[in-house]
Amino acid sequence: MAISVGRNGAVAVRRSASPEEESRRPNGSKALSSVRAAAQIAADADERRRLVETNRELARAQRVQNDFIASVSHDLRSPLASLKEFISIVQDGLAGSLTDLQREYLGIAMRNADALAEMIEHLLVLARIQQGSFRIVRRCVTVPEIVSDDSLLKGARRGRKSVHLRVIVPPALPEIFADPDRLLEAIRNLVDNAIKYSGESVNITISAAEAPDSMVEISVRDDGTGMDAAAMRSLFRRFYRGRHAGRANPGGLGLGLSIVKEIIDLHHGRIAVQSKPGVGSVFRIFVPRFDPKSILLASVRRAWRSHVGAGDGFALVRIGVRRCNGACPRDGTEPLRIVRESLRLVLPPEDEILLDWQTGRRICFLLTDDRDSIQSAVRKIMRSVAQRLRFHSAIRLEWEKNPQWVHSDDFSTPEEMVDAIIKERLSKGGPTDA
Amino acid sequence: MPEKKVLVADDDPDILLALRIRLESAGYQVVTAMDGSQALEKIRSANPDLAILDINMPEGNAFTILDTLRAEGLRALPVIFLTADAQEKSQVKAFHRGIRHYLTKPYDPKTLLVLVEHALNEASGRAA
Repeated sequence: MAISVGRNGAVAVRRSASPEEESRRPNGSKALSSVRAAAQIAADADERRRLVETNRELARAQRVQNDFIASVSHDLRSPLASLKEFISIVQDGLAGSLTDLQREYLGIAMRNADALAEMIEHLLVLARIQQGSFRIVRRCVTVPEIVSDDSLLKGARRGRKSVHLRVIVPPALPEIFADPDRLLEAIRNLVDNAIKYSGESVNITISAAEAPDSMVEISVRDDGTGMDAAAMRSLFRRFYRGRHAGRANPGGLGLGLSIVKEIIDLHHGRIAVQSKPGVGSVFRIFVPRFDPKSILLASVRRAWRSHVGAGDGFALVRIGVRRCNGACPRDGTEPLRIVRESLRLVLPPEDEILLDWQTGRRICFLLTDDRDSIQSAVRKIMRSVAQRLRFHSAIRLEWEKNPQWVHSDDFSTPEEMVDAIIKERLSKGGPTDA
Repeated sequence: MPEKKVLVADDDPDILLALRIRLESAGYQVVTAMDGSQALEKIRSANPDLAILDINMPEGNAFTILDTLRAEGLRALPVIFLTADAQEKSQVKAFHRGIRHYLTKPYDPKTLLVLVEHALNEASGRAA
């Protein structure tokens, strides 16, 4: 066995001839082969140990690097907060009146502090992605709830540039199944990117439309510098920064688009890019529509592939909320948030959760791979939600008495499994508001 | 109407000064503390209407402060967490202690003032 370590740290293993192969060689005597085989086995064992050790070292180095990025980014936040707040205090005139020139210079200082904040934020997200703790919490949401002129331009790094932003979202667009904060972060990164790769003035149009395969498309189109084919191939690579006409460094760390891709992947969506140098670019992101049955089916299909495909099984559990009293806080989403946060805390991240709430049926589905622990998982969830609700005396939440569940062992396809649990739900009728 | 009193606890003196300037200019009376035990002492003695707490401080972090206050029956004091800790687990932990206002540094001062006003209105609504 031979081991070689590449420049990127990847370990390659080349297998030596086996003892059987050696013995089949025409000129090798059997005795010699046995000696060689024994020596080879010992050498293989040594090399395997070295390989295991090398991999352990690499994993440790990666962990140290991630922890370092996370802690440095965290430690940079406090001084940055002071820096920005004191600039802001002077800008707001709380330390006396300002001349126009002083105001202009403070604007430059603040713009650069914002750029620094963005870089630190991107490093933190990168550390979370590499640690596997970057997650999303999806819910039923409308595109206009996420995308508006205000939400996009707030924090957009305009610098000295003149940015014209238009948002065109048809009112009858279907709801989507997305994490609104993360999706806004993705779209903002695309807007920042459009601004970064443009001249002194840029027109950006954000539009949304229905797309095939139960998807909704959100596109960000700009008339900036555009890209050639080579740049488009490297676009989503971490730390990749495209060339910018007339500038050696477009600014930023080159993490924005890789974060966009990560967010869209977590939504089980996709992203497509078209671009032409000198004309501009259009980034299209596709996210699933909020269609409880198809979302549930997609989750069950994924679980089917990973569990049933590996000779294992999993359960699909339905926990219904029977009543939720009318004294919920103003926007009515608070009980849902409580349930969701509680679920997030008690369930392992690999479990899929779907809350079919806003359609009025108030059903929570979850996948779990341990048949024996279903009841205890359900009890744990209910207990956690109840604990949480103690701090919100105005909210009363009542679960349906008997959670329903089905197991993959009892079905031959994911479709049958989903049909069974949905029929079960429909036959019982939906819960009502108190 | 008497001005509302806000306790601010943070071990970074620069942030404390910035928050004092910001809150006083918005018409609030400000009491400051530089560690957890000072924060507890001032909550007991100055009886603030709201507390803005950094999570990681010497002599008792924000969670310890909350637990102590609850044990003493001071459950009603509205609290805002203002911290450099943006980890999801800390946010979820705070959420589970009933903290709904969790702001990370660097913060937007306008957002902070809106949260302060909102938390105070909510608390006076509850008391009424």
